[in-house]
Amino acid sequence: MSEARQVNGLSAWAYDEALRCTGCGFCLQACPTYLQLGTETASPRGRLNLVRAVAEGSLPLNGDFADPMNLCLGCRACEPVCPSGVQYAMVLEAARDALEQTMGPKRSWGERLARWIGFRWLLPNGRLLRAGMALLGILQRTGLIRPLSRLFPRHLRPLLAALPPAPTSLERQKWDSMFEQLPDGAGLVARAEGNQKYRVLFLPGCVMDGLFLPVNLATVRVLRRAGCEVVVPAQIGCCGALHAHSGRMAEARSLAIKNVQALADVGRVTGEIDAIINNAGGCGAHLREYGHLLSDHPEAASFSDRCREISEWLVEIGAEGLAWKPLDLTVTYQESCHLANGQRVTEQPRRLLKSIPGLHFTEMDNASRCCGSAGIYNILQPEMAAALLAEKIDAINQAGAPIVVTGNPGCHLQLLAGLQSCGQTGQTKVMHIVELLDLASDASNR
Amino acid sequence: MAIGNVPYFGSKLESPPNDGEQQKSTAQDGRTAIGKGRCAARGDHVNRRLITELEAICSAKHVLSGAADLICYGKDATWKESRPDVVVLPGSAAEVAAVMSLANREGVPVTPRGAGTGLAAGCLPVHGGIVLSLTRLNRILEIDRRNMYAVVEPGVITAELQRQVEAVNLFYPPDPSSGKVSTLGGNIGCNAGGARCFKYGVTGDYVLGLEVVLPSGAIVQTGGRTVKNVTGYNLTQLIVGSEGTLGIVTKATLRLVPKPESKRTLLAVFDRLVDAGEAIAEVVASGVVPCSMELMDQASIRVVEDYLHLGLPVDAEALLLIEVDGYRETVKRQTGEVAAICLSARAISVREARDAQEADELWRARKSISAALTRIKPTKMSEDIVVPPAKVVQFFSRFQQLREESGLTMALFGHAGDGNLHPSVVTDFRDANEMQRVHLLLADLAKLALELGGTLSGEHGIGTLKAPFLHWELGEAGLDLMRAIKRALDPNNILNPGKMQLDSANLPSTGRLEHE
Repeated sequence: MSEARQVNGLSAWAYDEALRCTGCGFCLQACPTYLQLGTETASPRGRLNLVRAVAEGSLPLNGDFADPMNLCLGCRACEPVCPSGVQYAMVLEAARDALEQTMGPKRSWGERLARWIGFRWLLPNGRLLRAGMALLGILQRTGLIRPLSRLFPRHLRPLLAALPPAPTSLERQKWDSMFEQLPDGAGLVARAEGNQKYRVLFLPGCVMDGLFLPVNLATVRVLRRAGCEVVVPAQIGCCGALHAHSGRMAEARSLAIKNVQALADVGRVTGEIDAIINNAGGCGAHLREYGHLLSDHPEAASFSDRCREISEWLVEIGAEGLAWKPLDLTVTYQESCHLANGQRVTEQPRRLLKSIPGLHFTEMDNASRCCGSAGIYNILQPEMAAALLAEKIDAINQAGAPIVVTGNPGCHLQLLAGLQSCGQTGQTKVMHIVELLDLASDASNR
Repeated sequence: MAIGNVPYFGSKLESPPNDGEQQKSTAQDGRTAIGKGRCAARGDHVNRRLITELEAICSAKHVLSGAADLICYGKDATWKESRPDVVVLPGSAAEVAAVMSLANREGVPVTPRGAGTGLAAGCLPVHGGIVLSLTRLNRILEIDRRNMYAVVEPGVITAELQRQVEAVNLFYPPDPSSGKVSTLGGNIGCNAGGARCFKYGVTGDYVLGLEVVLPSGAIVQTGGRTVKNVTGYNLTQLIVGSEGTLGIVTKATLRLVPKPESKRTLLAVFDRLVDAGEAIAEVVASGVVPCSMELMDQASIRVVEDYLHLGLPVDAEALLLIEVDGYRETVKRQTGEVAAICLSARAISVREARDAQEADELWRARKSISAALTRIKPTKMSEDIVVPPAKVVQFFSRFQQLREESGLTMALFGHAGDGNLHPSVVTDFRDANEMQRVHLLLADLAKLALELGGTLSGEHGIGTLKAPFLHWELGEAGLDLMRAIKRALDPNNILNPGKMQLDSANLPSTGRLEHE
């Protein structure tokens, strides 16, 4: 961030923003790490004080600052309860950015290699990611994944074991067969069923496309039934959320520019795009911040303004009546932190679930408290992630619902891992909300 | 008495000089003889050996001395800052007593802390040393429904107690605006108020008994479980409001009352602030005692509307948020009476909250004003004055005058029913010029409150922020009596030293503002 004004290695904007914290403490009771550890240092208020200390020169950019900042989930539960409106997540990003500059080079070579491969090569590169998934599929089907996972640190094994099956070529074909090619190789388009009322862009994402292709399939189907033409630009890719949250701002920005450009390019071929749809709480929240991330890009703000999460969009276009087929199921809802606190979408998923005839919806305790996934937090901070996950699984069990509905791939994986660890994989199912909507709106079963 | 140029708003609080120097300085006219460099150096108190002993008492996990921890525990809900040398989080009264005993032997200052949401810098360790957090003592030990009391540990969050007693049809009335995060121990230390004091009284009115760890490390039981108790001195009420300078509360027996059957919330909107003032005086005089009567001026309304988007009347000069509770029939009658009074005081509208949800949202708005003010400018400074309800109109018009004259950005809100108001200024601490003007203005407001027959602090406490004004209200005799009591309980002056003008030389060195 060499262009922006800095103070002691930290963005001056972040210092100004952190100053607006009055120390009222309302955030403490919303913060999962504070509720777990009970120390001021593990609270949003504490972390903002540390940011101030760095800017004021009384705390260096070293482990003393990094440790508490890295313990933060970035779940943003503090933001809705902050009367001063401190934009905590952006301050956190600036802090991570500052730390990446000073401490990044000091990491172990193994960690740097893993990060380089993951952030620089795997996530942004659709083809590499698909190749990786194909390999994963082979390991899963041959059962080699189990012995192989012993090469990984212990805390990663439940996650690896819980990974959903990588998409088969049959599923890829299902995806391809839903779309037609746009002229000039601009991308793919799936026509609306019946009258077309809207044209939307859909972001298949990286993890969603790799591990949750059925959810993406369901998303496109539901959108088509709701009268939307669905466009997937050729150039669209990873949103860059994980990069931004890790302080890798240059990479985050280049991914963002690519996506904004993709919208512009495809729009020229297809005509006006009404909305940019995401089905992932975390990614969608980040897409909506492109306006801030790329403050000097002329089209970034208009990109962000048009972003909608799938349940938000369906309610906005009045598509609640879409779900007509009774489903005799009992479900509870795990709120994705970024969907609730970043995208501010809380009512719509519940409304849609309640609109499905025959569905019994039961609210779990602390549905909005982080499950511990938080991007790659569960890889980096296994202890805290595990503690939060244990509480979450408890809450799911208390709610007594055999199905827990979620809206974010990270949460989805984390919950699968948690259920796997407790041996509950048979009893409790995790589903994306759009999968239920897909079942409940499937005309082929009429 | 001249206040001199004591900039007690300076953020980085200086330790006083060593004992020898202390005798020379005086607080008579506010100027002190504390030299800039000559102070008990931070870190002198706490060394490796002490930390080891603390770890033996509380276990290493609960003794914090990392740089980040010290920064975080050196801040509260004011703009001030003062770092401890070590933080301990004891898990029992016995551990608290052992820490105090050790500290007393070694002469190490100990500053108790709850949730750190106090508004008078009361939990900041002015002289460094140990910050003793009570947050781990957070159990509600007993709720006795027949005898109507609860026994709690000091780290229990106020709202949590309220929730649990209301679930069994009881009621704990004290409701400080920080209630969702502040602790009962902190409430007791400050004799906290809040919105329901007008009808129900303050925290102290509900404390039946306490378990207190004295500065020597001795554990004392005061009061009992009964509403009436005149056995011996009223030690309970000595500790209440003593801001953690006489003892650390490790258990409290709190009185509960029956939960009111019904409550209704009214919103009265006024074109002029002084009309709201008249309504307040009239309601008080009428004999109707609403549970709460809260004032929000235009600046306050606008910041919370910006936060919560409730559709509040942002063009009104003032609104009154009034709650009436009691039996269904009386509530109905009293609501009508209050509404009529507001209308006759020229309210442009009076309406009831649509439902329980809207009532909750309105109260959330009211409780968020203080923090939401930093939406305007980053540094918020408030007063906590009380004036007799009939004098509120005079205060309002003088407030508006001062605001015009000073050109500063100010808001006024508070517990109008009991005359406890929070005139606040928002500024930027980095603007030294404006900060000076703010200091003078707040001093003027404090003086005004006293002139109108009121007091400096209704609920936030004195801490360090209001300490220099204490002699205006108590006089030297009053202060001497306070110091005598302090000396009797804490001869080594280790428990929360540097607060409430109890040290005769606790004033920070002159001219130091933060970030000069």
